[in-house]
Amino acid sequence: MNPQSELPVLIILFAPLVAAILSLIGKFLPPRYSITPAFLVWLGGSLWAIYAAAPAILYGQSLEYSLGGWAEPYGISLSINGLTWIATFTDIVIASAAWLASRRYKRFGSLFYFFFFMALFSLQGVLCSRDIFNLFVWFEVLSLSSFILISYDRSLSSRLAAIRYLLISSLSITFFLVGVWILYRLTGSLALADIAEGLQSLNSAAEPQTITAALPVARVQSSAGLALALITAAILTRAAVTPFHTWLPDAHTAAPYPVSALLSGFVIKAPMIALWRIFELIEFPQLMEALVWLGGVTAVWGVAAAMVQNDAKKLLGYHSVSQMGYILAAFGIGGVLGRSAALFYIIAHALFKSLLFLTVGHVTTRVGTRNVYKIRGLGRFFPFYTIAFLIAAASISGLPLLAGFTGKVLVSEALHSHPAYLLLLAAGIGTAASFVKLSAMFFGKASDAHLLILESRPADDRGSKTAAGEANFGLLVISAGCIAMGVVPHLILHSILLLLHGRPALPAPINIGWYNSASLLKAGLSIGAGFLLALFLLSPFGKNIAHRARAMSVGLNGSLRMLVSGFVMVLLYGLLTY
Amino acid sequence: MDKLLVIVLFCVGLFGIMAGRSLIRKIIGLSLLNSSVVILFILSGRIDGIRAPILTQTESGMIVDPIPQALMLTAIVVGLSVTAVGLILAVKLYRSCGSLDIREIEESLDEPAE
Amino acid sequence: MRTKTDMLDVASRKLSPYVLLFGCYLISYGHLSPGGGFQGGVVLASGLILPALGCRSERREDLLSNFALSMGETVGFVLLFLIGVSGIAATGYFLADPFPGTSRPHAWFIFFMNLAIGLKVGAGIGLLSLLIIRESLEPSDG
Repeated sequence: MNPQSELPVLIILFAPLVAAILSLIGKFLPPRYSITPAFLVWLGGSLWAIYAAAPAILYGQSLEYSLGGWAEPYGISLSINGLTWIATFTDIVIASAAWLASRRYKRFGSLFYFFFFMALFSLQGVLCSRDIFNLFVWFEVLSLSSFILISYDRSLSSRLAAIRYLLISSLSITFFLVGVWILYRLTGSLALADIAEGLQSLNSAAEPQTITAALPVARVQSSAGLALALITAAILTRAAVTPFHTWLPDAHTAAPYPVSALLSGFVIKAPMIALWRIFELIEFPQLMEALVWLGGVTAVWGVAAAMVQNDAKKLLGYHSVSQMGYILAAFGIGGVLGRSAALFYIIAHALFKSLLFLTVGHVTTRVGTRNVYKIRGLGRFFPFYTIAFLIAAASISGLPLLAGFTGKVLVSEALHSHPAYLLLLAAGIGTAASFVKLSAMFFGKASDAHLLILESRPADDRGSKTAAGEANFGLLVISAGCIAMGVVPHLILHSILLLLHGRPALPAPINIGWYNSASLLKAGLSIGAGFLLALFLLSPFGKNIAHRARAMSVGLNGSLRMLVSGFVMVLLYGLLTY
Repeated sequence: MDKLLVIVLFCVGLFGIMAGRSLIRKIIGLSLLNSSVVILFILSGRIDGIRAPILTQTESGMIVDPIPQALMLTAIVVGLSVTAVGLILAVKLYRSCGSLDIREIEESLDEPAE
Repeated sequence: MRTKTDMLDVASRKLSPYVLLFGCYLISYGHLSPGGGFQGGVVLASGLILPALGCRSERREDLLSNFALSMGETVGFVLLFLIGVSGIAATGYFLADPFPGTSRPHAWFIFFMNLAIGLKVGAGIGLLSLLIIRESLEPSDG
């Protein structure tokens, strides 16, 4: 064993696992002996691992670890490359903030933290895995822990959301397995690098030398396309891309808000990283083109659904769907610029969306209702949360000097000549509109009933003063991240490129006029249009339309039908174009 | 013929998940779907040989491809866990709503919210 | 709920120990023949829940308490983890054989791993099923 290269991979996976085990043993111990130590073990281990991995990553190497000592084509290998490194770093920030907030939200037992750390463990596995079946196992462990975390409030709505998520995600993972089966039959391997090599030789060689030697080349190719399309669609279900997104808004609404912050902030991005690792090795340009369009449609659809919501957390959930559209479109464009734009946006969205969920979750828990139209005047009671919320809301709407603006500039730079960009522009207007609508919660005059609730409760009835301070510290760090990404975007972009490619193979720097007149004008126009749209949405007529639109929402059976028809479409596309 | 069985099983499972309104029926559909994939893998692992892939000191020769079996053992475990969680959620929903009909549960949720 | 017949009651009581025994057999011979930790564990769990399903509710007594099952599950999980880590300590790889170079390769190690998995799976599934059964029986008992 080579400790320099293998130990960080081992530790990065073991840190959350050991934390989970400590929490599990904590069932039989007083809580203070298990909960905080588990967190510290996880944080310390993960931070040490990424610190130790950094030098090699900066030189463009990836750290690999083969389970049980069996090397790649036969064994399962896990690795950290630049992509994993960046994603892990984001994951650590978001999960720490969510953990701190969960201490304030409720006195959860240590079993809650067991599932929390199991989710982080499997998340890390998704980020590190280089084996396609192994990816399936990590995905399933991740969703099993998510189901339980979502239903942890024991309410009817959370259980319904969990079972919806369960049915949809298990249905989609079956298609994933069928895809794995086809790839295994074609190439005789499950390791991603090996599959890529096998597919390449299937395409180029006149006589493929695999189990399927008897099959004609055209049939081999179409089944490879089918397999890749199935796998992509199943992964996109986890990433909540239209038409596979129907589980997300309910699940992220019903979960306890620290869990929503983790789920929306990072868990839906991990599948994108996995997709990236697959298509880094396998070429499929037609599918990438389809992903750009799918991203555009997702952005618009998510925003359109978000604008009519009256539940504050559901509105945020639909925005997660819409923002995934931006990431997917930038990812689909590909190239150095497109991929780094996608990664930049992943980080930006992770920061501001978790901030939104943490702030909105906290204030709506305190008020006792999540109805956007009824809550007013919270700013006076939660000054700190109001500022944090406004930073996040301004970020997501694309106000200059904040993370969302620079992310959007980068995405528009990557996509500017593509027609799907118009869809993203339209989505930008809708985003601004719905966040103006949501911000109304913090201004105006609080209604008497809410005043009564807010004043009757002591400032921190759910946990000690220190828990509140720690939760606020988490918010502070995330807000600082949002501002930093807006103020020094070139530094962030440079470090992303450096980590992705390593110093020896560093591509030419990307020169972008971050704050030129065109981008400022675009942001100004879209925010202005959004403001007008928000005024319309808040008018009685707009409320009426929103009410009707909400009544059209599909139930479980409707969303399953949507999912399966989405799968059939993707499947046919893959079959015909590869 | 084998493939036909798998396809039929897959379609029955899909139908069970999509068409039924009872949660239990949906979960059974999910198990069927899972089993159809398991059978698909196991059938594909059968072709290479006749002996079980257990290493002994004397014998050698063609053995069955062990990878699909190992994979499906994992998939069965995962499917079992998913079914267990699904059933628990269904039981809990039944306890609070008195019904397993998904539409009735969704409706009972809508009313208090308005 | 319909009352259970004497036949069901007696059969489930008498059958349960044999099912448990068969589960133990599957676990302990998993490295030589079809079977192993997971399969054996599931059989163990079915041995545990058979009396709960078949016996009359007034005569039902649980073989093991929920606390013991929950403890067993935790111990199984921790044990499996420790076995995996011992592989790292000995050879540098997770779940590698901690005693390489003995005459019968891997067999002992796999035996212990199967024991841990069997404990975990048996206790886990048993606990889960017992909880569901109790949950669904309670209203009709009252």
